[in-house]
Amino acid sequence: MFPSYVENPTNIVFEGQDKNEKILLLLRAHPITNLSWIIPAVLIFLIPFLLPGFLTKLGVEKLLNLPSVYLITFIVINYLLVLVISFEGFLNWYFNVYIITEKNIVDVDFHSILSKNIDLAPLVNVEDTSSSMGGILNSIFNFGDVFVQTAGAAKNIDFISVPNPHKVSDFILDKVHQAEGRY
Amino acid sequence: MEVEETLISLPLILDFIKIAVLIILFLYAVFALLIVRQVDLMSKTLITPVSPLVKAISIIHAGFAVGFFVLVFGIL
Repeated sequence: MFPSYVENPTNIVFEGQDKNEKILLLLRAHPITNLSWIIPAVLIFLIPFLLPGFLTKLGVEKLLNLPSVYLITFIVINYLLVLVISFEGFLNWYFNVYIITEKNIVDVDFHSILSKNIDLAPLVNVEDTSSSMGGILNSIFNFGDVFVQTAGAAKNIDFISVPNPHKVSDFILDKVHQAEGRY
Repeated sequence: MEVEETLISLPLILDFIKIAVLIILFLYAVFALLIVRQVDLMSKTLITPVSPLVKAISIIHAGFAVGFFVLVFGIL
């Protein structure tokens, strides 16, 4: 439903896309990277179930002797926290994308709640690409980083934690060669 | 133990908890409204079939956050 590696995606348009510009590859970080917010969300979800037992063990269960309306409010706040962590985590994963079109490489980043950064490099400016994959999770789930070096003063573009990094690296170089008319 | 029980039932302590909860919920409501703006920004940058759904969730979430703040202000 929410893939992180999509070749020739349909129904997806990005800001600044030309009418005749086709998206060849859309990438997001590998879904397993979402564990960084899923685990805290699950732990916070479990707090209302675990806290009474924990307080009883410490012998301070009477701290829960608040009026029930206060306890309900705390529980709702707890689940609002779970909701906002999950929603923000999903948004950051879903909308931080790397796009390779027939003309450009686009890196869309949302660093914080209201700041965005779009790096755009023409394919013909790409000089070389490299990919790296290290770590247990990376090896098991086959994801890693792809570094795209561009010519001139343009900023290099890094694809972080994308699936199939070696394949992506090769894909980009193939498209660069096609764009330059070499092969 | 009895000291703890007495402390928690003191009206002053409950007032303090109420003010703390209201401040947290006020900040949460502001944050929820910022998320609506963030989703709007994201949806304009990357237009996907999921964008309308995500926008709807953010608006409902913000409405709930504001409503809950008002409710807690009334009932605590």
